[in-house]
Amino acid sequence: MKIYSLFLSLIFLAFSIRLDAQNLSSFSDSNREPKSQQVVHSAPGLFESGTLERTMDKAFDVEKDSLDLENGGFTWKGRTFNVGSSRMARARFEKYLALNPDDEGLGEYQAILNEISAQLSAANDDMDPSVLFAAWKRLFDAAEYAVDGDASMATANLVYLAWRMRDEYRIFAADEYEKSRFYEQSRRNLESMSTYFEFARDKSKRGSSKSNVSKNTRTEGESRIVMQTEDMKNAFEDLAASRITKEAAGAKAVVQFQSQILIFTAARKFQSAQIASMFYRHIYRGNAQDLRVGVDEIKAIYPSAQLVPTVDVFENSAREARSEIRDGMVAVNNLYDSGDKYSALQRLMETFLLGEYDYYVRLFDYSKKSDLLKIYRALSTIKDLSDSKDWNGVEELVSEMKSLAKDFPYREVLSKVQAAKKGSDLHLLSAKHAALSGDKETLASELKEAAKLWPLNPGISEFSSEMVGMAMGSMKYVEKFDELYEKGNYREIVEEGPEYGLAFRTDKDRAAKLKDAIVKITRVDSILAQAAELEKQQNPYFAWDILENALEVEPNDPVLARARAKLAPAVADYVKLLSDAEAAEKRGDYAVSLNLYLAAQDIFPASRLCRMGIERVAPRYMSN
Amino acid sequence: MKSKNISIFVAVLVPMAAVVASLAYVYFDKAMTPSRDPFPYSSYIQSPKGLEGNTYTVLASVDAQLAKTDSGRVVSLRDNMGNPKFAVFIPDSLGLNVSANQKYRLNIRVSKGGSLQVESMKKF
Repeated sequence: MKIYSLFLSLIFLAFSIRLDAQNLSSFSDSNREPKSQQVVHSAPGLFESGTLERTMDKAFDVEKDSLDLENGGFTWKGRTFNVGSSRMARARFEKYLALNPDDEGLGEYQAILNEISAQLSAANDDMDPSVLFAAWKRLFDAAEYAVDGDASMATANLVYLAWRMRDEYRIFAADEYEKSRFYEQSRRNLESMSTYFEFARDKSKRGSSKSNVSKNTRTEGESRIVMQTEDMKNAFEDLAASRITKEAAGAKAVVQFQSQILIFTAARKFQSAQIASMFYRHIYRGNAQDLRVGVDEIKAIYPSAQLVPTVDVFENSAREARSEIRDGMVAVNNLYDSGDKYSALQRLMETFLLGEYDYYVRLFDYSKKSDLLKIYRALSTIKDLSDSKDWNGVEELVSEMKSLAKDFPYREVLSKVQAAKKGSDLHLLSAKHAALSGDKETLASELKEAAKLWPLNPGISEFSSEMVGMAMGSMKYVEKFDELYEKGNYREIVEEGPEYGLAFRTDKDRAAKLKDAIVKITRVDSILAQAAELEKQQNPYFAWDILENALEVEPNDPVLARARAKLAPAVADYVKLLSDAEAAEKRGDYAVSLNLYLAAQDIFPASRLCRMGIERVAPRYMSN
Repeated sequence: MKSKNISIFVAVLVPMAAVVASLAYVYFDKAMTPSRDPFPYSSYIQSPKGLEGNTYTVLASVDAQLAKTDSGRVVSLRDNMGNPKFAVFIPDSLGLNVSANQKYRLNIRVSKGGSLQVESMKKF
């Protein structure tokens, strides 16, 4: 796994820094051939068409193609996908599982690459050029397979470019030699000319008087010296430009080749990187093996002070990566064959990340891939449902997953689902309590927490419906209460007391009125109960007296009225006297009233009404 | 013999004199007191004002004092006819002490508004 993490780091550093674009473009711009000294190339052929340029653009268009793992963005062919990198990886992995390797001709393709690798495997520099050429020609055979993705073509073009640059290098070298000779000749001519004219000048001045020195000084030839100096200067510039052009021609090819190898490596096309490195090793020697691109990044990966970053680093790293990929696929097959399909899928995903383009990964058995694809899709759905917090859906799928993969950790998943559901239910219960007590803030916060844990909790919908119903019901209860209270119909109010209580839990005024009504009716009922008991004890006058007390509490109560009506016949004489006494008292006939109260008291000596009546009217007996 | 006769005479004569005196007292007392109708409770209670100005005699016992005013007191009486209690006003001008459960012969007048005012009363 060390090499695995190593290459992930390499991918990140290589792409996110975009070293190729800046270094290469600046180098290319500064060393572009001036038009005045453009070397005449050979006649246009296959590789003078746009193929090479388009391929190189695709390879070197690092301004457009980038993978920024840190920010989760992926830019491809100039189009930027603002999606998480995981989504792209998931899509490619799912596509990989769905592909049948037999359809791609993988076997034949890999056979060609193996042949090329075998041909280039010689580590010494004395490979027969014909072997190299044969290996190069096989690249075109490999490029015919779609699975190659033009990697072989890119390598083939780079090899050809290197060969062509080598030829041009020789031409540039010859041109440089000629310019060097011309420069030397110019220098010698200038030197001899200058010497001769110095002698001639001195001779002309010899024997002249001081006054005639200037008259006798020889100036012939000075202009020729100036011109010769100019020619030498131009020759020197031409020589310098020729040298730069020669070096640039070689350097450009080297940089392009190394950049392509780096790109292959960063793109995880290890076999392509390995083959390109092998070609490079055989084409370039000496200091061309030193890395001219990505040096700092490679040194960051290999912090050892002893490391000399060369192109061989890519070749060796690619070989090791492929070895790890091969081991990974062995583990995948073993796990699958033993029935641990979930673990096999996990290992496959890890191996795919490194070896997406590797033969061993691509050659994985299609029937096994189909099986793992089902598991993968189920897992993706479980993940999507989990993101949406659709716990019921997750539970259903986890049950299905048991039959697909026996080693799937369904218990862990289900325990987390249950915890989330229970948490939501607890918050919902708290919300209901808050609703009953009228605590709006707690209600809102608890509902929010319940929905946060399980948005699709059916209890939330039911509770909301109840709340809506309660809200609507509350309005009806308010209207009904106001109407009954205004009429003084307290008993009807008390019959639905709990409902009113719930409706008025936040209405203090109506709640107070409700309490008043309940208190009154409760007292009346208590008196009615006492009166009923006295009636049973054959004490109707006492019962009547008590019922008269209830009238003071709630005179309009229908139950009280019925009780009095029922008792009245038994106490008719007493009631008549009391009634007449009260009427006389109201009229001001106190003497009459007093005698009537006394007569009624004769019937029921313990009458409180009579006693109170007598106490009222006796002092006013004579004031009629 | 003579003393014996005198004793007999005294023994017979004195009691007889007493009886005569009593009878004479009652007679004269009655003769001195004008005669009144007994108090008609039923008629009164039905229409007290209809008997305004009438005077009656009632034999009753005081049930209870109901009120005391500046000029007298209001008491409830229970007559000897078995009628319910009724109220009368006893003016302080009569200068009489009223005791509960004491029987009295009362001369009462039906005053304005149907109230009963005692004109005279004697223990009975």
